[in-house]
Amino acid sequence: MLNSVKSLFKREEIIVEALNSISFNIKKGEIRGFIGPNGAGKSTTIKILSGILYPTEGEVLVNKFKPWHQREKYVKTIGVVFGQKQQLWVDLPPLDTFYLNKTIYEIPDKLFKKNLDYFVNLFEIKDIIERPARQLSLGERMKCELVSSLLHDPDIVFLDEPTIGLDAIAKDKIRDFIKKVNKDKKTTFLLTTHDLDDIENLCEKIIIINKGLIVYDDTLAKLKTKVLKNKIIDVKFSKKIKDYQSPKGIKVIDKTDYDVKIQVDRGQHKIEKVINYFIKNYPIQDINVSNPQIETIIKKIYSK
Amino acid sequence: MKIVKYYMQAIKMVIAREMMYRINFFIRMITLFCFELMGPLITTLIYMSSKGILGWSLYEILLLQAVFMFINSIERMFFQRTDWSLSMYVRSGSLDRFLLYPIDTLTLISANNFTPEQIFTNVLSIILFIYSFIQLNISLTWMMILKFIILFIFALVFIYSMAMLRFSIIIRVVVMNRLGELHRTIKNFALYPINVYGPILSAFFKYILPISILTNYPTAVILNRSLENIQYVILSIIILFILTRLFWKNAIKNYASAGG
Repeated sequence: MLNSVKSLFKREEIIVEALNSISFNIKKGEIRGFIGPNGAGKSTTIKILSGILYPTEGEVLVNKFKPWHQREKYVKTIGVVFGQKQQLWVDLPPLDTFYLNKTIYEIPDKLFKKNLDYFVNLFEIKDIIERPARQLSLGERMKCELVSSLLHDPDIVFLDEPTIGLDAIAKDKIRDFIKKVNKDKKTTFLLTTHDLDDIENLCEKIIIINKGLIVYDDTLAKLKTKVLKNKIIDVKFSKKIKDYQSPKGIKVIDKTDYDVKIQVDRGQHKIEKVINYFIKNYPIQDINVSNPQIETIIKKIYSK
Repeated sequence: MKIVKYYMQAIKMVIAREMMYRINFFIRMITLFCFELMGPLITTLIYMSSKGILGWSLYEILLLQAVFMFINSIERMFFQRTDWSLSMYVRSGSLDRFLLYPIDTLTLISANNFTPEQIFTNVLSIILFIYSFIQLNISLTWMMILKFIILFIFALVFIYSMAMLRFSIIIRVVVMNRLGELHRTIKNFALYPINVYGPILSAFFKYILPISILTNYPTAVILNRSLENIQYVILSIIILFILTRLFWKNAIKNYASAGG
């Protein structure tokens, strides 16, 4: 209470570096994933790239523009969709917002009609664009948000968690839409998401950011190779094992009296030898061999 | 011009949005109508029971109040709702979306928050103006009309500058609930001739915070009164506009957004 009153007159300031000298390049026509734990700096990066925030220092060039210097010219070449912030007019049909965007972006009539027809057919949203946005489901609204951000044929689109809160079918539709637009129009997408299925379905390359620093910037395939050199073996015992002993050099991920989960580095151990060890020394009910989840490696990176 | 086209389109959409909640719109309109009538009614009552303001007849004061009502209704049409909603935009981070369009941010925000029921106040002010004008039996010349239009434009520049100042402060401090009220309270000093407030306040309202441009000077043109030191008032408005524009740009530059 006293501190609250004190803060009326004097406040302690703490400097937090949201981003720390991050640097990356994205080629035209890419769909790049941009992931990281909460508070890593993903949205701050998107906001700088879209010209909303001014960085304290550093250079940003998007399509040869410095986003915050030439904002009005620059934003004509980009589209932005925030999964958690709506841009459609809530009480009016999305179609009205589309026409308003036509005026703001000065989209010629022919191009507007062509794009509107293309996107409406692609998403099959002809029936919903004339209903007030507040009456639409989250999935329907997100589709309309995406259409709204693409009508002016931007070169690059920033998607900040576009599939958040959506069901599996809606997510699939959004992913297919992004892939199709990327293929047909060569639109570049930078996608932030917590859903790794989005990444797996859409992105060849990903950037992982943590505590304002880029910790990975390469292909998803390379990241998977790191993961696939390991195998996960789940062993279920048919009776209680108190004095379990792991094979030498094998990492135990999880263990109870009735089962054990281990990680095997295929470069150092043969899977069949490890399985034989268990069969020889313990009463086995079930053995399951699987690949580690991509989440596992990413969680490891997040926790560093 | 794109801004005009955008405004026309946005205003149509705002009206469509308001018509979705018709009862709310009608009640707001009626309330506003009654509220705006109070000023001229009270003035009339004052003049019926006293000598009123020295040097000003009832219809001269009503003419001044009609000009005030007209300019006030234009300001409220474009900026009143923004006074309330901007704080919410900054707090929630939804100001971001206004920075993503290739159009002046303030234009975008004010068009989104257009208040259509103020059109009726506009009409009321024109009726009051015409009524007072007829009662005063004024001979209008083209020069008077031209001067009035020029001063009216400067009045709009002043209103726009004050809007930029208020909104810049809100973006910087996030929550500033009474700022709009403070502005309206100060502006209400223009409801009466500036000279009634004494030399110091009069000078303040002419050269530092020139609210005198809202009513006194435009009305002085119609009533063929002196436009003493108008050049300093205009200079003050130009300086205010430049400073508030810089302040606004600085506020946008330092906008920190909200939410991930």
